[in-house]
Amino acid sequence: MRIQRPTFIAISTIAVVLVANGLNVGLSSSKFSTNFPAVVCPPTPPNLTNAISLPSNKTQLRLTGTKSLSFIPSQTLRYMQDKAPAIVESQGSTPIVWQIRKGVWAGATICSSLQNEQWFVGGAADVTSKGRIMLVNSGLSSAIVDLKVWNEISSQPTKSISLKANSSTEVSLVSLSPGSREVVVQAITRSGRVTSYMIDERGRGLKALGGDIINFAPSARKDIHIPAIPHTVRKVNGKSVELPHSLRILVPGELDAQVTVNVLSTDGSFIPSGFENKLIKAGSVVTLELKPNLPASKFGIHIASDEPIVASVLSPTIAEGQSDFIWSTSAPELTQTTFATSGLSPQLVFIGGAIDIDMELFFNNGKRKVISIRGDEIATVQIPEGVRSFKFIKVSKATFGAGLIATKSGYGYFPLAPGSVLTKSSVPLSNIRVLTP
Amino acid sequence: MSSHRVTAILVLHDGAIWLPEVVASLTSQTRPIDQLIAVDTGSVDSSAKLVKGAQIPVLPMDRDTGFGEAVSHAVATLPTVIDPDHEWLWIIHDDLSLQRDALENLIAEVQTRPNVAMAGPKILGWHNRTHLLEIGISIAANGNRWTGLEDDEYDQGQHDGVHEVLAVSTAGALIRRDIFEQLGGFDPNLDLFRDDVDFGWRLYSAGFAAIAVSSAVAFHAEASANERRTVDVAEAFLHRPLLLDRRNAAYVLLANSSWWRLPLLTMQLLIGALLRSIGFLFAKLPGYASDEILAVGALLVHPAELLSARKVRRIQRLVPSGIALKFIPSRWSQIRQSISRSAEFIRSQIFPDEVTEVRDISVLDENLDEEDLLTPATSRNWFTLIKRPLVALPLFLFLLTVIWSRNRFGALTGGALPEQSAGVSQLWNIYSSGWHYIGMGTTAATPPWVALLAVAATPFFANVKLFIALFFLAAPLAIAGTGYLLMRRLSNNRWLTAGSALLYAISPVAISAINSGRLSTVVILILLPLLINASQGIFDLNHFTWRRIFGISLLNTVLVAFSPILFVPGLIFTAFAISRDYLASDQGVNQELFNQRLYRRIALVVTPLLICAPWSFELLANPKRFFIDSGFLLPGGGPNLALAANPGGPGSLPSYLVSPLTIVLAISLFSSTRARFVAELGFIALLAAILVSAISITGNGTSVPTPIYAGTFLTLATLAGVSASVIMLDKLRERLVTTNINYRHISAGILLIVTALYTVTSISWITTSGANSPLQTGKSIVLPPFLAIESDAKTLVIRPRTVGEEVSLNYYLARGGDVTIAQPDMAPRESVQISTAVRELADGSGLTASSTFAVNGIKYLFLKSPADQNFVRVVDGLGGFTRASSTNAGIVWKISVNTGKIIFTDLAGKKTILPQGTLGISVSSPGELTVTENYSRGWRAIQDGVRLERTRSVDGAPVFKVIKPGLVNVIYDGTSRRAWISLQVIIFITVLVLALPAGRRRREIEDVELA
Repeated sequence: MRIQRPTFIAISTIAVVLVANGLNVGLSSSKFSTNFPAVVCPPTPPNLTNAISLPSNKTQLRLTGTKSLSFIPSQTLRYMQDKAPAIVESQGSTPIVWQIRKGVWAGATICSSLQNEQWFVGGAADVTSKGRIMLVNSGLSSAIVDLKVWNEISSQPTKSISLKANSSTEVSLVSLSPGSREVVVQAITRSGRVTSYMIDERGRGLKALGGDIINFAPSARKDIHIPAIPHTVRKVNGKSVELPHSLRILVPGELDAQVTVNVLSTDGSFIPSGFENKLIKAGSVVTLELKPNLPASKFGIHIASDEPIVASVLSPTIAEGQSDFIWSTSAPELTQTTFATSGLSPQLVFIGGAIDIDMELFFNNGKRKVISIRGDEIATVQIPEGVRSFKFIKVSKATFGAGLIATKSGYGYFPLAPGSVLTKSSVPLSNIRVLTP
Repeated sequence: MSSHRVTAILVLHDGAIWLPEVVASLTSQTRPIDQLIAVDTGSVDSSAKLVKGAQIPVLPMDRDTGFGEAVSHAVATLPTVIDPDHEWLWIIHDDLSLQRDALENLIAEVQTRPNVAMAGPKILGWHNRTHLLEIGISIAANGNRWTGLEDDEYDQGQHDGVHEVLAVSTAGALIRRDIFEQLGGFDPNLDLFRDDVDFGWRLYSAGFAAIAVSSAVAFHAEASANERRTVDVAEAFLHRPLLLDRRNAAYVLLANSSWWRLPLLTMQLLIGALLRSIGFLFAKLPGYASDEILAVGALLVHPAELLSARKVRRIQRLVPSGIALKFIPSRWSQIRQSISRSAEFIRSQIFPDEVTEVRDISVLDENLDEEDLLTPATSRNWFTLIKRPLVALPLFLFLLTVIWSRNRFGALTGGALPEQSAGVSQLWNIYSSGWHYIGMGTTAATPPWVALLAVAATPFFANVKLFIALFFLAAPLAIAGTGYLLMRRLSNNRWLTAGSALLYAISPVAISAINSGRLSTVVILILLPLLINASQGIFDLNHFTWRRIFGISLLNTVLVAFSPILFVPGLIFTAFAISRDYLASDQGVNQELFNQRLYRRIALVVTPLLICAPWSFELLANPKRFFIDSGFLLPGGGPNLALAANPGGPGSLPSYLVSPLTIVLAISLFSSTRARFVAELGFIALLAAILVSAISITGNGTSVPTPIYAGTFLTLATLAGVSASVIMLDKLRERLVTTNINYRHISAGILLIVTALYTVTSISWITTSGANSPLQTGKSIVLPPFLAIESDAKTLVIRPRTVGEEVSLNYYLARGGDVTIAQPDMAPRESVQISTAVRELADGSGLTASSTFAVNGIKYLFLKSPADQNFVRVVDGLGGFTRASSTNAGIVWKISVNTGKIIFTDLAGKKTILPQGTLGISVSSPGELTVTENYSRGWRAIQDGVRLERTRSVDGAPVFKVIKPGLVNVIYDGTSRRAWISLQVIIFITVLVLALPAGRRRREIEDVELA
């Protein structure tokens, strides 16, 4: 009896504690929901044509500026957009927009969800400029966006733009910084759901000098990767002349930056002369001429800096004998994401230390194909015709990518950046305790 | 020998018990009575025979003859008055004995005062002849007989002398015969009682006076008033002396007072009768209660009698009747006496007189006074006082509490305690309302503790905040106090019992409950020892009186009202006890014993359920709510902390401060004393606490799963642990000293070390970081003041909540301010529509969120800081929300769609918001009225006295079909709630009356007690 009693007490206590802890395990009071926010595609300026590649003909979309707020199926894989920007429920797939002024220039960009901060490195506000920044408020409340501009001299006064609910507007670059040859614009959304786009279109008199869409960078960084820069070789008097590139850099902070530019190409990687530990003055836009002297038709660069910077490369191109230019902008690290490319056949360029990528191609006819890309420093792949979308199913670390599209109207560049990322939001729970201090 | 002639009239009515002494006292007067006549009013005992045997002539009369009529009959037999100024009537009751010199002293005083027509002796008790009954009498404005004496006043000559009084008792009254005859004797309408006061009042109106002479002493048995004999006078229908007394008192006041005082007097008499009858009902004396009401009623239904009496007095009056007012006691005198009696009653209940010394009477005692003088006076100083455990430990706890509560001096809020309403009237409003404007509205029954809180706060200037602040301030002392009451039954060692009470007051559960503002647990901590005290011997319940059963039931009710989980162990215990009773009654053979216990056990279980209905029925329908105490649902600390008797949660002791209670319970389980049984109960409670604290529930207005706070079970375990330690340690030292070192020495040593360690560390904690508890004063409000201006506007408050590293969003609807006490206990979960809208708002997909909010009457959206900027951007971008403000407190958006409490939709579908006017809602065309509240069958819309057809909208709101334009009144019909409250009040009062000590009829009181 004396033995039985302590044993019983001990066993019962241990049993109860174990059962209680078993009941108590894994309790979490928070619930989360995940979704891909809708992406916003840029508006179509006058005399331009906009085509949005969609992942499916059932993709839901609606246009801003209309009374109807309901989404309707696109019923096409390539949506020819009218003037108003479209809001696309692409469910994680990033639509590619192909915009052209027929026979003059072409440009590409991605449709993107709302952004708090966007950096546009490119464009000019001088007499040749017809550039504009397009602001789309996809929300149903009015929005405020601050536009901060830097030129080759200094930063310019910030301009605040108010947008009505469900609307878009255009602001010409000239109005932001008149006379500036080199501009960088930062769009900061103060309130509302705003996505901004920039077009750099130039002309002298009636002569078109080309144009392009300048893709945005989400923030200033110390490491900038610009994966795809088309390198054009022009025949002048029977000689091959490599067209130079302009590297535009802005150090938005207070301190000057030391940057090193590393060129990555199929011919090897190297630091061009004068681009090692190059001092870049803070607060003004700096343009450096980049002449890599390469036989390759495309290359990428990696800019390492000791201060956060934004950068892009302006490359002249020739399409159908006409001069054009293309802005290659920085790209974020590649992630497992999907891009819709219906009607387009981009060439993808990847840069990184050891590139190891598996891609799944989705064809218009429903077929699928997985391809692998391996390489050191730079690798390219051409997306075949008839592919409506491709998905990165395996991505090596520190790999960056961008796409180049070449058509008769011109070249286009788009970074391989997801237009919308899976958003995990806490599901709010009712709790009367919110009403007590 | 004086020239006065005195005729004594002895009225007999079944007074054989007292008559021998009465007659002897009359015949032995030092101033002989000139003539002695007896009137026998139909005595059925040997009264007449006894008196006749003493050679006193007896005039027989009917048994229902009144006292005044009997006296008048005797007077009528006397010869004609010869010397009016010197002829006296001496009225003697058959239960009145007189000192030998009584008449002599009375005559001596009246002969020097020619205006005195009535004189009476000092009347002492018959059995206790030092008990002063009367020395002159009067009547209070409420009809009470007024003697100006304290209850059981000891006669030590303090009132001696000759006093002018309104009247003297007819017992021993010496009255001038001519005046008596002139005034028509005693009023024939006053057969018994109050005839003396009435006569005195008439005497003064006629220009004469009355005196009380203390040198004349009489001893009165007050046989009729004390119901020592039946009252058979004609007017005393039902033979009820109280009824006759109250009726006559009212008669005297109404017949003698001036006209202008009559309305006030009538009101006073009615209200007084009502209040006294309520008092008698509580004392379980319904007969007396009905006497009070019948007495006033019987008088008022015969106004002619009163008018006639007033006419007679007007004729006899020489001076205004107001002359007697100087003898009517002031209201202040009555209040003072009532307060004095109440205070004495309370004192006697709290500090009953203790017999400190019992000494046999011996011859030596005669010299005790001298011995006392020789006893050296003991010198006492404050230091010796402080060394007493019952002074030192409470003083220490008080100082500790003051330091511990340094952030709690003022209105308290925080933890589980919401902000409190200012006055008890608001609590009563909440309690009686059928509809509560919390969230989208609810019909949930208000928990009964709200009524208890309102009652408890009433003496504190009806200020709930003040009461709550004082309650939490005094809580440690109260917990220790009631704990001590329990512990002192277990040991005579005051240091041990007081020390254990202190340990109980600073136990982990007590610290946690106080720090986190858990009103329920604190109440349980205070009251549970009292319940255990009252339930001693609960297994032999047949020995409990029904009064005790109902008293315990009331205590049970209070405990269950605050912490319904107690009902569950109570129910289990009852089931166990019934099975035990079945075995104890020889498996039902002794049915009487079994039934006696069974009925009592059922009463103990069912009474709290009935008193707490309908709230208790809601608990039964939703058993999860048994686990929820009052206030906000705060999490407990989980099973592992519970194992250390620490309930955990905000404000609790940190886990590294381990209390000795579990160790005590463990050691006590192996005790050979009755500590073992106590420890077994505590062990079961501890295991229950561990299990319960592993369960998470939702409720009290929250859908966040919250681990249950096992405070109630841990209070049981703590109390058991402390009690077991007291039992074990009692006289342990003596046992340990006399034995060799064994396991007892070791376990006692461990116990003492752990206890000392815990005491020091826990005190250190509560005086340092523990004082910064969730429950504090001066906390800021959540809802910005400008949102509180629109008291009926609904505001959706969204706030981030951080638990560990996890941040989630919580929301609730505010109705013009922060949530106040009792509201969390009834708060409904938000509707599915609102929940969906908020979820969509958070994930950015809620394009129609603002419309949903508008349909539900939500005007504002308030995001409390620290605001999630992504959420802000989403709301900014969704549309339907317009920023109203952005401050440090948070961001407010106004819902763009116009909304309000009443939305009217005309036949064309156009919606307008209608204001609630004083006369109702003005509707300009046919259509539908939507009340933006949760649907309930209690909602009514009335137009021209006709109820409008009510339907339920798809959004779950009540909709009324308006046929024509006009005024519409929208109300919530709380009839069913009022009916429940009425039933609750009836049951509560019934149980209260049954639990209160019963009053005794005067005939049931022993003579010795009356003396």
